[in-house]
Amino acid sequence: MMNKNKSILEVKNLRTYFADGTDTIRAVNDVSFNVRQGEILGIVGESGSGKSVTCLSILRLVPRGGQIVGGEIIFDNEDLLKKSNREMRMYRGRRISMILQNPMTSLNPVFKIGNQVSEPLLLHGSWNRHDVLEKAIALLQAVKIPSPSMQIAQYPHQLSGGMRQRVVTSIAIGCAPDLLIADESTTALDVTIQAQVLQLLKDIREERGLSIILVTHNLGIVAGMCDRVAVMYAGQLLEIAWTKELFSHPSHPYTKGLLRSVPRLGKGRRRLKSISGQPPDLAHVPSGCPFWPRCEETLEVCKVDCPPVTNMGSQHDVRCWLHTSGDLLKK
Amino acid sequence: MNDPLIEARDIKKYFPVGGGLSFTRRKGEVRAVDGVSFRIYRSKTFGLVGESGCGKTTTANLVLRLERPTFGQIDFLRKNIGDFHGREIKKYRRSLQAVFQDPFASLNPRMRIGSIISEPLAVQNKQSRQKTKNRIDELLEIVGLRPDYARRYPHEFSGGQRQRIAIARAISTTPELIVLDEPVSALDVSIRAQILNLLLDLQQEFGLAYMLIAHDLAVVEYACDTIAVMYLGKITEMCSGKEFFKNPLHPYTHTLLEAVPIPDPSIERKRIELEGEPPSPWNLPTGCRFHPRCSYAEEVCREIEPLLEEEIQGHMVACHMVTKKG
Amino acid sequence: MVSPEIEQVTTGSKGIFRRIISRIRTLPTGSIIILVLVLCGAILAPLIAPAPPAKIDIRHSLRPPIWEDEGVPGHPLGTDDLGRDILSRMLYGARISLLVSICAIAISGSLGTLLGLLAGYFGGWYDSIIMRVTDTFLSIPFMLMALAIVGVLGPSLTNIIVVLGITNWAKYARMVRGETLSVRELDYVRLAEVAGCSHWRTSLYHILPNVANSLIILATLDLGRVIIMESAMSFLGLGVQPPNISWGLMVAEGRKYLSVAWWYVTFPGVAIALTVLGGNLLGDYLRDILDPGFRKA
Repeated sequence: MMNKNKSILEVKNLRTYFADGTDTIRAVNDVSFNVRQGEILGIVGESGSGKSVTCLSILRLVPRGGQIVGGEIIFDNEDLLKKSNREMRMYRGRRISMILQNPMTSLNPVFKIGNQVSEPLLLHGSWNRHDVLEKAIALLQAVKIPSPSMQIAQYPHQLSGGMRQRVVTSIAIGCAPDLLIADESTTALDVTIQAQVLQLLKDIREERGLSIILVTHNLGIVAGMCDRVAVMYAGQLLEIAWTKELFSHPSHPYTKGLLRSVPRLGKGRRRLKSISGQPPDLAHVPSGCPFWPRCEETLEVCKVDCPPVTNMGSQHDVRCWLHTSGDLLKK
Repeated sequence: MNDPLIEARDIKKYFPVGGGLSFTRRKGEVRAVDGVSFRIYRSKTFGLVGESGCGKTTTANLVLRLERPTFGQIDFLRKNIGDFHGREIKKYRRSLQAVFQDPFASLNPRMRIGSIISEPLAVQNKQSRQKTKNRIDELLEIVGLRPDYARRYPHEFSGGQRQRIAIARAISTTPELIVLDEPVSALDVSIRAQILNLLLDLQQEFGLAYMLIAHDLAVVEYACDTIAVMYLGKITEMCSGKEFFKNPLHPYTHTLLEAVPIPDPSIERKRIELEGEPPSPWNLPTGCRFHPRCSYAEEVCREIEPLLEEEIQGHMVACHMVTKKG
Repeated sequence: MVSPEIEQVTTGSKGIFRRIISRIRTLPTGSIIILVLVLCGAILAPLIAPAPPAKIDIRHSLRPPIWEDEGVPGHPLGTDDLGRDILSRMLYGARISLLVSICAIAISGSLGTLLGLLAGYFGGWYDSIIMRVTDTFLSIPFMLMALAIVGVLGPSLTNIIVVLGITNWAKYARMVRGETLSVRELDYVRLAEVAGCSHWRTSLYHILPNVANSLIILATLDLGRVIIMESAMSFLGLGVQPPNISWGLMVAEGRKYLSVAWWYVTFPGVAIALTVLGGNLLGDYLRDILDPGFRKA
């Protein structure tokens, strides 16, 4: 049933830029990756890395001031960037769904839960107003909300943060999408609730064969949830690999730095090694590799040219001059 | 000197709710902090852990004297801070400073960095301009920023830098205790280690005591000597940092530790069985507050509230199941 | 010493220069020109007025502007019923109109800010009492209050400023209270208390500067409104009295001659309208640039 090797989404050389007065902000700068059927792909990055804009670009919902200036987004053999807005509406909510970070603002405070869960069903499906409530209750049950038939009459403010996030998840999976994008969807939750919501996502993936893009800055979540991980920095994708491989054999100095600087339970009070400096202002990204000012292994070429993508082995790509083959370096 | 710097003695903080204010018909009070006792010693870090609604921020506010306890008292060097007047309050303010979570709200956007950092000193006593300038330069250097930043405004700095500025302000009066309320959770991951290292270095250099409030257990383990876990206004477990991770006793502590994501894919995590969410503070459960979510709960847990007792030396727990076994 | 990890601030002198340039590009040139003209006219009145504003010259009464057939060279915008030069009267009238508005706004602004700060910062009884008083003032129609006060005190320049100041403070108080309430909860205000700041210091250094933005915008937008109110009062005979000149008064006097001398009412009327427009445009512009969300951090 699930063909684990088939890609359902292929992002190729995506570029999304914003205009800020006289500056150009390259929020997404030549990013390529794919998502396979039934897999959970993690995208890790800090503020300014471009991970959220990448997700919005997939759904063609780039905020005002931004534009997708290049690349391809192939979903089910169609390039989404060539679709009109009207055609994209057929994808949003139905084939590709998204959950956002803030459960407070994800739900409309003046509509009941039942209405909000039913909305995508009515938009995309063939239910009528009478049957749709039953389906809504079933959906709430699927996300493990207790007493769903009572909850459909509630308003968002009557629910806790964790419950709201579950409701939002049920809205997202209502039309059985192929791909779900979760953008920092557990950041605002308490750790025990976060664990429950993440478990829920895992269960849904098992039950429905859903593919998930999990955007987060938390390496612990990545380790526990994701099959593969992509690391983004200043609009570029620096490294992508199987999760186990990334944690045990990180190639990019940024990845290495991140892994070293995160405090780990059980490791006691051994001093953390931090990465010096800070993420760059996207309006003034350094030339060459964007990470070079903070990198401990910088070469001269790093300051001048952007490194190409090098393949390190099975599904492991990295963008770093340190790993590029000799004759390319001599150029 | 083994006197504790701060001693909280069975403090309770109740907030009245109802009347014309809320739309619910419920009247009564929210027991944000309901009988909490602990000690903070010089040069040591006391960690307070818990999820939203547990009362940790209210506890911090009580220690900082931003609120008064409804019952109980807090002692500073064995004197009740509630009794302080005028000069004693001033002295307290010199000895206790704070760094809060949000680096973007911690600095007055209309003040220059130099003024922000020197304000606690300026409030204490009048200093000559030159002395103040020297102190500002000194503080900026200590936290790793350039002295010429003193003339700039907060919006020109990143989150990590702003937190450094907030730290510079906090150490300006050479305090004895700094309350750190989630000091790194709003920062980028690659910056957190920098700030944590800075805080630990400052502690060593200046002999500072810290009251660290955090929800990230890894941060807490990294930094704390003593850890207390709060749940719905009460402390459920309190012990040394080592004990906390080697030998956690309370079921809630187990739950927290199991729920924390670990950045190591080779470790198999147990499937999360915990159901339900913390109850609303108006509808507190009878007996042990954690019993509705506890897999070990028995009849006694529903009826009688467990007391915080010393189970092993230096390790206190409030749980019937634990004390029964022991 | 603690080993520092030195960081670089990414905005430098280059960034500031760029920002200044882009700010200049978006300036509201129209409103600035208008307001500068009015201000210059008022200040330089003695130098540029073609004739003394009070000089009566019955021979040239009700002469049209210079570009019409019966216009007289010395009176570019025509004359009034007593032969006094309209342009000169407008220039001197600008002085009074501006003086009255600015003083009135200063009074209502200060009073309103003080009360709003007290109400918002201390809350409790202060808040309840001040807000009840504010609500009362907001619900009494301006004209009624003006009539009552002027009726008792009599019309004079000082009194009209007082009236405009006292009847207008309530909206400042309400706005400042609202802003104070939200600023008061911010971390840096709590931290000021932790640092040991007195209430006085906290209000002055921490709360007021952050409320000032909205205050400036409100005051700028108020300029137009107060000028109109002054004009209305003068029009009704409750405001500026002869021999003082104000635009409102000119409109009142010129009303009688509207059918035969359109310029008498029109020019001061246009002056009022343009000044109000200038004030509003400036206020809108200030609201945009002073909004912290607009600025790039």
